[in-house]
Amino acid sequence: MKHSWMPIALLAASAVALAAVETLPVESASVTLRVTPDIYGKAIATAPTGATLTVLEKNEKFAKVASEGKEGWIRLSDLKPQKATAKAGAGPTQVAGKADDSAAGKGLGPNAEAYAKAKGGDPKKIDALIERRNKLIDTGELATFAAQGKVGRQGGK
Amino acid sequence: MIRKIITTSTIAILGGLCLGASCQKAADSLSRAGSSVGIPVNTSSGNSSDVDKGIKITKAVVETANQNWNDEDIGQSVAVSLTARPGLDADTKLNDYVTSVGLIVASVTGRSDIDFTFGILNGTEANAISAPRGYIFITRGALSKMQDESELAGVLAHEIAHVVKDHGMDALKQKRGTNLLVKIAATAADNQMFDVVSEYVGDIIDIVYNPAQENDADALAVTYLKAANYDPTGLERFVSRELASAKPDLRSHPPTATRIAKLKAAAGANPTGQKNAERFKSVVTK
Repeated sequence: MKHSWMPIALLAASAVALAAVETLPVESASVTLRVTPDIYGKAIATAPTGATLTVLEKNEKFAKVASEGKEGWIRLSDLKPQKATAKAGAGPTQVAGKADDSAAGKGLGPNAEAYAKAKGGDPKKIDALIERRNKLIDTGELATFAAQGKVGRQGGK
Repeated sequence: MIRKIITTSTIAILGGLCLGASCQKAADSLSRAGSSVGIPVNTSSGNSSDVDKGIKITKAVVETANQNWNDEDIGQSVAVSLTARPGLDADTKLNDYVTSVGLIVASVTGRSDIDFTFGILNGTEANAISAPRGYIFITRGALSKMQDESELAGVLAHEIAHVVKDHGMDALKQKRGTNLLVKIAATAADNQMFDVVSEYVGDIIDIVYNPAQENDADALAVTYLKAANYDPTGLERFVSRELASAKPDLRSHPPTATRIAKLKAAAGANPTGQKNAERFKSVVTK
């Protein structure tokens, strides 16, 4: 009887894939999923704290993820890597987001807040600038602004 | 002792964009420390413990901070400091406009790891300033002297370039040493942490980049303008006009003339791209 090595090879490949699955700790901030792999892309969904994101593909800086039926791009820096663990039954990599408040533009960090208390200044005013910036991006107002002025990448198209 | 109010917020623009007359004022004020020109910006010059209008740095305040500071913390501290002096312009429509133009330029830098944040400073001087990790401010005075959106994009592009190249932290390390962030943690125990940070904040606001860094930022700014489909002469036109309004000795200042020539050459012989003058004028009132 002729033995086929194919199933064994597949099992071996699956084992490797399982070993590569990451799970990440649930952190405080949410993650915004965007239409394009780009922080200036329109937001299509927000993955709340504790959500599990399934990574569909990655490039150098962004990952395409699925969350609660929606797919979109997030920055790799929005994911906090930790010790890889195998997860039975997992197809694509599953991760939970997210970690770094400062990198995600969610407002001033504790050091600047403390600095303001010590030396003066109003952190809320900077937070307001950050919120307005995020709104311009997330609502698509920035894209409209670019298109109307024929500026931006590809001349705002 | 009353803390010296910085004589030269115009120096801040040296840190970001040296704008003709502003350069001269900055240089003047450097040579006559104590006089008062430009915007009163909160810096660390003088005795910082007297600057803070009675705010006491208590151990409790120190303990709320993480002692492991990074460049983002420094940039944020600069930003929050500017809210105190000279203060931020609260015009939402104008802020949205400046932010939109800034983000469009930022989007062509390839640095999606930096969350650029833009604000407008009170003051009539034509100044701009950038802080580490993308905190960029421009004065109302600078906006009032611009003629179209490509000039605004040009000035912001120059500041963005300083951030992208990390010129601010480089200059700070050159002045304070490469272990400057370690020094902050080392002073936490005796409640001197924020005094040290305040010195760094002042350094960033007062920063004077070297000619190589300025040339670098100019060249990169023109590249960004082209990539964003803005008229690449925007920065050159604004700087040239500021130069024309400067003192005669400044007009003949070789480095500035060289700078203009380089900006023109970088823009090219037949520049194209958008100026969006009408949109600019509909938002930026003189």
